[in-house]
Amino acid sequence: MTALLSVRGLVKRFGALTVVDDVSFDIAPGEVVSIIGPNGSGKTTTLNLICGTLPAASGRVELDGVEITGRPPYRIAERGLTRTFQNGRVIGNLTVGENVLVGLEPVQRVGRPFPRLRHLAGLRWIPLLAEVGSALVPSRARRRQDATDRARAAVELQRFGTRLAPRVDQYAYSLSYANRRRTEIARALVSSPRLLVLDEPTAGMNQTETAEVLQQLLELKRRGQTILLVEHKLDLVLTLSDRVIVLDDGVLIAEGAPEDVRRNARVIEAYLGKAFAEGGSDD
Amino acid sequence: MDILLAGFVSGSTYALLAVGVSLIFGVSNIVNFAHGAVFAVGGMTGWYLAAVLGWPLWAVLIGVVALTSLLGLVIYAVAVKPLRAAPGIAVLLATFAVGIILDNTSLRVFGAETQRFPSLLERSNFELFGFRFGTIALVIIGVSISCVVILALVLARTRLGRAIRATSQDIEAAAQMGIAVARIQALSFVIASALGGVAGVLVGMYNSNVSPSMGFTAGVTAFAAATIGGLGSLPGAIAGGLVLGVAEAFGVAVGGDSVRPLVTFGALILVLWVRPGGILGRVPTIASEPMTGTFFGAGRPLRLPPWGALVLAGAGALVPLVASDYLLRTGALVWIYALFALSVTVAGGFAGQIVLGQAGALAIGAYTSALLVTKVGWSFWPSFAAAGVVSAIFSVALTAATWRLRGHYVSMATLATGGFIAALALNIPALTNGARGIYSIPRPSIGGIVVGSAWGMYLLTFGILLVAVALVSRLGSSHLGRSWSAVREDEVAAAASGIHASAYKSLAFGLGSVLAGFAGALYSAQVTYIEPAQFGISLSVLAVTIVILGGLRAPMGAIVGAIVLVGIPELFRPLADWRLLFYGVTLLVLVLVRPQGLWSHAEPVARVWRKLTATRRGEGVKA
Repeated sequence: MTALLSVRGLVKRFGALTVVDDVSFDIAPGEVVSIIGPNGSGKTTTLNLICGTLPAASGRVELDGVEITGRPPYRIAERGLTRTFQNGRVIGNLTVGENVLVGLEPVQRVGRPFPRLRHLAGLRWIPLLAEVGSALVPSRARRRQDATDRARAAVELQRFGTRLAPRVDQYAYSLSYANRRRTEIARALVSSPRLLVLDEPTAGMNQTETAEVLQQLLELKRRGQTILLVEHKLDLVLTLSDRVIVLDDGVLIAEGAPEDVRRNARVIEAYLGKAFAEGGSDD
Repeated sequence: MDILLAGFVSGSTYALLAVGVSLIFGVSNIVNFAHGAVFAVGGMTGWYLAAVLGWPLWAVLIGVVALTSLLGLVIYAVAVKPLRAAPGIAVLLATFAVGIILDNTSLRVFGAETQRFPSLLERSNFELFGFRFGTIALVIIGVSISCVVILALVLARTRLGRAIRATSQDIEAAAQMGIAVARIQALSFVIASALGGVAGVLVGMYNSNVSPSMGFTAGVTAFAAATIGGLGSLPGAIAGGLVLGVAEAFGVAVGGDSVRPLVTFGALILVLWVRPGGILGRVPTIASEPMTGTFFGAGRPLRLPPWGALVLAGAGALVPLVASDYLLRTGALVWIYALFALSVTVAGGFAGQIVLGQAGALAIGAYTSALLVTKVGWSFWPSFAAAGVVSAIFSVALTAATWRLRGHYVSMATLATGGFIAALALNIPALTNGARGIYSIPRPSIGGIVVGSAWGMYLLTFGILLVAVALVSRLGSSHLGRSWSAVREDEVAAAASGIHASAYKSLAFGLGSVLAGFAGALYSAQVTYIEPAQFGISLSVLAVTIVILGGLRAPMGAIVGAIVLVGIPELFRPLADWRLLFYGVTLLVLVLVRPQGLWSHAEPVARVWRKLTATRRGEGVKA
């Protein structure tokens, strides 16, 4: 089975500090993989490198057999990798519904001719100007697409039930923290990405809300959505993940099924210190 | 060798100014547009103390430093401190307003004439390796170097310096650690302004003349120097100042004084293309994630119902029935400025890019249309179309490398392109007639009938403005407008959602430039005479001001802003000399009172509206 995402020898330095040090792993289609590790172990940086938000010093990332290392984030999104952010980045002055519609950008085709030219400096003005034309005088296909898109966004918001669906016309800046995270997840999911990358999707949520998100993620997993996530809440990680990757000081120290990783002496050491690991390995 | 020395002398005064700009930028993340005015006030005060009161040099310097330090404190207290919670552009405009007020106060106090600055020092008493120089050159370089060295020592060695550096790294963390951030920021304004005042005296002595209006160019040059060196870096500011001084000196030696702005802005554009962080600075690679709660809902535009739009359009079209020719000519100018400002609505309001060079696009439009009509013999309408297209192509090409940058860098780069275009118009007389400008540009005609009357031009400009407003509104509410909003609010999140931010920024700027080009064509036809001096940086700032004060995010904002900032001051023309002062004060008050713009939701307005309707209802009950 070929991997959907393949990461090889990823390295990132901030000045003299190596924050991600030769990290390699694979994710198979339909798999849910979590990255865990103590604070400052390079989890979020690893995600940022994979998604193109930060440039890597060296290493190689392939999505479905195509190299995406060094590509700008918007092109990686077009290839079917979407993400959420650690602190939640919604577009404050757009409504919830519009925020989700923004998530459809990577798959918008109507009224945007010559998608290939969009990546060429200079020539990208042809599709850009065509887009302006379609914004000023929308064709019937464009209007139909707008309606379809809105319906699709509504379906996506329905996933969060009464939490979000009634707030579709509220501005995102007026949302609670948890609802911003939900909006962000909906935005990342609406384009049906091949790989969904979540950076601490339940940060700042209480237990009930976390349990809700867990149910929603389990539902996604049942539908075969491939997910890579960084998360601190170990309960959620252990319930959800097929496989867990553990980083410490930017180095991958363990990888495997949740139960195995939980008993791994190096992991316990990284989290709780050496003495604890030695004491704990007896039982 | 003489040229090199001249370059070093003017370069070290630029460095003094640039250090101030960089210090304030570093500590408060603010581009202080009043800096040039402080410099000019320093020069004028120096002249007054030296020439009128006959003080010796050391006393002059002390007096000027005392005054300009105080000015720095006032600028901070009036224009910066009250706006700490407002978006950065509001502060920029407030300092710009203070600059206008200072310039014009100084004009009223000292008179508009260029004054002869007594040379307090020898001009050519030394000779070394066969070329002559004076104590004055040594003193300028010496004073500049020692000011900067003292500043560097204070920053590196003292507790105060550590507090300043901590504030410049992270304002919130510094505040948490018990640093009185407000006091540190105030201090940075005081130090910067003191240095600015010293520079004013030195430049006055060196050029042996001063005038109250010398500040603006000096201020812009200082920004250029600071950016070339690396914004926020003090050694960078010195390097930038010296490089720019020497480059200008050689440029002027080759092509005369008019080349100076060409060199300044050309160098700035080049640096922002090749090494946007400047010689010694660097652009931060990733912006920190915005913290929860930093979103601001302010500035959401009021929604105009269709019948309201129709009523307003009808009212605007009926004005010629009641107004005098003078009022109509003013009105046409207001609509042209509104069209011009719409270009900032698209680039700034929609895509979030505060562009400070739209006067360049306006100039290209005006020149394209004027040249095609007067020299090639085209009629107005094809030249009008060409004005928009040519303006967009030039603007997009000159800023192509800019859009991967954000925030202040975009403002600086567009400011540079705007200045560069105006400087080009001055320096290619074969095409543009240089400083003499283009005369007797004919009026447009429709169906063979020349639109020469005041009401004709009024209706023509009004009609074109309405069409443009309709198109821009349509763009804003389309899917394209949504993509722009995403880019405006959070570029990182937009990119992660598949939006090519720099392409959409460039697109917004290009479309804006089309509008500015159209406005330029109308402008040349309305005033029938154009010259490079009309298209200065203050015009670019005016466009931004109109839109910010009118309301950044809806086309109506540009109209409201143009009426308030172009129309009303025009009516105060009888006040003549006081007009600009009045304009500066209006601007400052508006920024302070309504930084989010007039055409926008704001709680006080809603409250007044509720109260008004409630009163009416109450009266109804009584009656």
